Formats: sequence, structure tokens, C-alpha cells
Amino acid sequence: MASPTLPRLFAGPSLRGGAEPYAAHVERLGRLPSIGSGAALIRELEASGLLGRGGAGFPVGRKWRSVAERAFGPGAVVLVNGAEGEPLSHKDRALLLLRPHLVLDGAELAAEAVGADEIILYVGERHAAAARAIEVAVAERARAERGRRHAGARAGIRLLLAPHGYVSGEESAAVHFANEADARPTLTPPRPYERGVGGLPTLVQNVESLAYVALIARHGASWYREPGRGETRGTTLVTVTGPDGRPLVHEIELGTTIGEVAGLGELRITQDETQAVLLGGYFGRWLDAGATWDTALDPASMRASGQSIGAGVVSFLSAQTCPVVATARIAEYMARQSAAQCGPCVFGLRSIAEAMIRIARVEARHDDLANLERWAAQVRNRGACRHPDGAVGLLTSALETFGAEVVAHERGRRCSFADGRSIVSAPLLQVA
Amino acid sequence: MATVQVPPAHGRPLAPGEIRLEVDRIACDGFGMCAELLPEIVELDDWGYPIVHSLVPRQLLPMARRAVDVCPVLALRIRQGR
Repeated sequence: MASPTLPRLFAGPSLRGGAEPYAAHVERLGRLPSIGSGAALIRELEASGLLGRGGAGFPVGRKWRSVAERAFGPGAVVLVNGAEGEPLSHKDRALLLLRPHLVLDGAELAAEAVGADEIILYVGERHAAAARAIEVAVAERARAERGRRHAGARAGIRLLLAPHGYVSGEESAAVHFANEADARPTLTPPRPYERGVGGLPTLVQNVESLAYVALIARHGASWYREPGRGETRGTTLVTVTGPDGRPLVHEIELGTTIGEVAGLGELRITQDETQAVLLGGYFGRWLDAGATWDTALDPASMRASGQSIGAGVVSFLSAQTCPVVATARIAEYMARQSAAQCGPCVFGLRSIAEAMIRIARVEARHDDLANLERWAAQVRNRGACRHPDGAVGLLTSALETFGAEVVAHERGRRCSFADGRSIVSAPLLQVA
Repeated sequence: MATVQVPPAHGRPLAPGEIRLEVDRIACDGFGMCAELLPEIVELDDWGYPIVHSLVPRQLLPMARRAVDVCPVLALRIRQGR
């Protein structure tokens, strides 16, 4: 695990000291380099192979190019996405809290490169410390740079607190909130890069992606590509959760295996005590621990096998926990987190959660399992956003990975785990 | 019970001559008139919301236009490839 190139985002002063002040940031990394024409930086980002870190993994350079091409004339907006609605992810708020100036550097570079006059910082309303840190950082820069501002710093900056909720960070929802104070997804197309905030082409970019841009602009694409063990080069932040539920944020080389991540820091999770791995969070997939322990966290090779690291969530399920109960809890959460706009999502996810909870409680109806499979197929691809797709993707992976235990609950009316019955004795579901 | 095939996704480019009936999922309230008028290409899911499982054959274009017109919440539109 020890790599001479790590950490990169979390390099610098001790993380216990909180946010790195602007003066220390400038002393360590220098001022933002002048990027000349934005086209050169966009080419550098394309050469770096940097992928977006909000979950979808879209190439950053290509996204910037799409906005820059449309911004000529009318202008554009940069929306810095730090909503982080995924319950198992903590890396965005950690970055905002500890290295806010990397994020702001990236945002200013983005504004300059795509020709934006406005930067919107979109931070989860419950991530108060992160929001405060970025607010303080904006004020610090304004004081320090008065009179000799970087071109990107000419853009106005406003902070918007993203309403708490899973879909608030979806990019059309973020744009909708900036426009109309309504953080529900909208019908696409048009996508934000075509028509976003105020009708202008809008670059919606995750905070971690922007922090890497701040470093690539200084050190170059080939520096970014030095680490990486597989096809996808570079490093990434991950949020790792063990049996005690406490999230830890780490920066890893891409291509690091899931088993190595389990052993990081104070976690020291062993394969023996792990039943399964939830990769990619509530939008992700359950994977059998034994089969996946040596899987490399390399987006390119994972994509080939239909997997994704999502927003960098790696969560380990203890061998003592009932996976059917764990899945029912997530299904219930995802049903409640529907934006309640599209029928198949509202009613489909609710039906799926109710059936899954009955199965977990060993109170299944005779047709629950057959219904789950049919509903998963009916719901997929039928929302304005991808919320229903994420929910049924996780459910499908549970049926594949924990098939025997699901059947034990459903047919055999028994849970193989000591805690199963007690955990599900309280009513879980209250869908409006 | 609806048999589900992969619906032709919104946004996917259409070849010249292809016609697609698109549902605005946010506007749709599951009145189901589209399924009554176009049973050949529209089925309802278990909650009464339409699944458009194939493109619109040319001979059904007039009926598809009618479905667009009568949808109580104006959730349908026709897109043609050119």
C-alpha cells in the first residue's frame, strides 16, 4: 500500500489541524498558474484521464469541453457539487473541511477554462462544518487576493446549501435548486451542459474532481498518471466502512484491491469476518467477500465486468449480520428517498421495499420473491433520473449474492443470523 | 401483467423514419389512456404506468397522435428520426 506518491489531495499539514489556511496553501503549492487559453488546460485534463468523482465517472476533460464549446457568447456557470447525499460517502465533506482551497482552485480554473461568470458552491445542508470551512476559505481568498486576482476569481461565488436527501446531488436536481429552490431532478434532455443555471451551459462537477484539477494544472497530466496499477491511472478518495459503521476516508492508488482497502489504517478488517462488500454505496452492488477480495478498484476493468466504484464507497458487511435485513433497510431508505415525481419510482420502490421487508421478517407472501424480480425489471429505466435504476441494481445484486439466504427467509421461514429477527421486529417502513 | 422488454430509451438517436412515443415520467399520472389506444406498443406496469415497449409502426402513427392529444396531463410526445 505504501506508495511514494500518496497522499496527494491530503498532502500538507496534519489533518488534525483542520482546514489548511490560504497562506499555507499558497506557500506549499504556489499561486494558481495562469492557464493561458482554457483550451490548453482542457487538453491537459483529457490527457490525464481524470474521471468525475460524483459517481458516474464521466471524463472530466470531455465535460469541460462540452460546456466551453457552448459558452462562447452567452457565458456559463460552474456548479461545484458537494451535496454528498449518499449516506455511506464522507469524502466530499472531508475534502471541503480539510483542503477547501484545492476545491476553490479547481472551481476558479473551471470558471476560467469554460468561460463562466458565476461559481455556485453546493454543499449538503447537514454538513455544517464543511460548509463553514468553504465559506471561510472564500473570505480568506477575497482578502488575500484583493487587487491581483486570478482570472477565474473574477467569477462571482455563491454558497447554496443542498437540501438533505439522496437525489439532491443529482446534477439536474442541483441545477433545479439553483434556479427555483427545488432540489428534485428534472426531465433531461436538455442536460445541464446544454442548458443549466439561468439557462446557461453549466458545468456540474464534484468537489474531488475539482481538487485534482488544482493539482493537474500545477504538475501536469503525466504527474497525475504516475500512480495507478491498472488501465485507469491516478488516485482516488474512498470512504470505507467496517462493521462498527464508522466511516474512514482514505486516498488510494487506483487498482488497489478491496482486500487491501480492508486492511487500511485502523480498520484491519479480515476476509474471515466479512460476508460481503457493498461497492458504490446505495447505488451500488453487493459482492461476495471471497469472490471479490482480490478485485482491483480500477474503473476500466470494473466497468468491463459491470461493476463500479461509484463515488468511492467500499463498505464491509460483517459475517454476523443478516444480509437480507441489511438489504431491506437500504430498499426502504431508497423508497423513502424517491423525489416522488415519477410513478414507477414512487410505487415501484415502495412495493419492492415492502416485499423485501416481509421477506427479511420471515413473513413473506407466496408471490413476494417472484414479484421482486418482475418489479425490478419494470422499474428500471423508467424514471426521469437514475434513482430507481440504482435502487433495483442493488436489489438485483442482493438476490444474486445472497440467494440462498433470501430463499431461507422466504420459503424456510428462518434467518440464519442470530440478530435477524430482533433487528426487524420494529416496523421499518413508513412511506408517505 | 406486463411483460417487460427493454424500452427504446429516451434520448437515443432515432434512425430516419423511426417514430418513438415518449413519456414525460414526471408529468405522467397513470391515467392509462395511451395503453387503451395503443395496446400494440404500450402496456401498463403493476401500478398503472405505461411501459412503451417498442417504436411506433407507421400505420399506428395516427393513433399515437391521438394518444398525445387525449393524454389528460399532456405527458406524451412523438419524436421522429430524420
